Amino acid sequence: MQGDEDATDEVLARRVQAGDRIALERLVRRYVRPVQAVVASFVSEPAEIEDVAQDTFIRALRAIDGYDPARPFAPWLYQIARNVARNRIDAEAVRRTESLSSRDLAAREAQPDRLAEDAEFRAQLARALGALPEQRRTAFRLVDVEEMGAAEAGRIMGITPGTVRSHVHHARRHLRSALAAHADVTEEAGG
Amino acid sequence: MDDIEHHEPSPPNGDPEGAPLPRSHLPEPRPVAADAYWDHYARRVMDELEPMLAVRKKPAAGAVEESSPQSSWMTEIGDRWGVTALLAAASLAALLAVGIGERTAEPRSPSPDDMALALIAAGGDPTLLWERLGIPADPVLAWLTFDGVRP
Repeated sequence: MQGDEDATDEVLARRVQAGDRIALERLVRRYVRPVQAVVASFVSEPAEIEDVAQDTFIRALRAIDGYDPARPFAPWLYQIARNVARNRIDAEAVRRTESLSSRDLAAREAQPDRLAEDAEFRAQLARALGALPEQRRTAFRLVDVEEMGAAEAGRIMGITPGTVRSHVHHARRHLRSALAAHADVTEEAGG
Repeated sequence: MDDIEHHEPSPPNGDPEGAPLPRSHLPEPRPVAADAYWDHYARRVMDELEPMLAVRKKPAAGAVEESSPQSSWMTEIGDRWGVTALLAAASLAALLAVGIGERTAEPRSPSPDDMALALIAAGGDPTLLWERLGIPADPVLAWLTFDGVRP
């Protein structure tokens, strides 16, 4: 449909409420990457990220009649992504822990020293990220990992760019402290 | 919002502890925006969503913006009950004209206006539809009758 490219999220969402498939596809294509980025701050397995992001869109469509087009669409979708990801974590916490533990063990046995060190570092990074407050972790993910601007991350999360920058700053400090055993992290920061 | 209620101070300029971590020490990012992966993934998501959208049976795009809440409501009833309601109305009219009419002292045949108003006021509820026409109806039997005539 002509003009769809420029239509705001809220206009598209209103059209989805009326059953417009094209508007739905526009919104999906516009948000697949941001939603996956948000989900990736909760879960780490690529296949699981895809599944949770897809569930987010399914839940969003089911709930679309409850969305108020007078309010920003992105934070509404972001909240759904958070809830779906949290539910997934709660439901699969035990399975995930067992799976990762066995995988780590297998990796250490099978891989050379350097790769084993990498695996150890990744595990440490994952633990440090997991210890961050949720919003701080998501802001860090969007800005530092996915390389979004603070304004874009703030638009998605429904917070100001300044708050995003503050979250990212504190996340970096926390991670740097948690990963201090790896000298190159602190050295590169100092240099 | 949820996790941090207070606003923390902005980082001081030049704070090395707040500098970005080396790229090699970060988790893997999602594919870049232009990657063909996103086209495949969006298609996969749409494959899940399209059937859901189809069963919503909403009016066509733009109809909601241009129409009043009342006409939207009537369209909704029409979409959901159009054929069923017409069949039920025809059955009801036949009953009134033949069966019930012979047994009542003062036969009451609803006018076409009465019938149309009753259909709208019933809002798709067969029990209400019968009651609007002055016929006390058992809810279960009313629904069974409607299900029986539904195409």
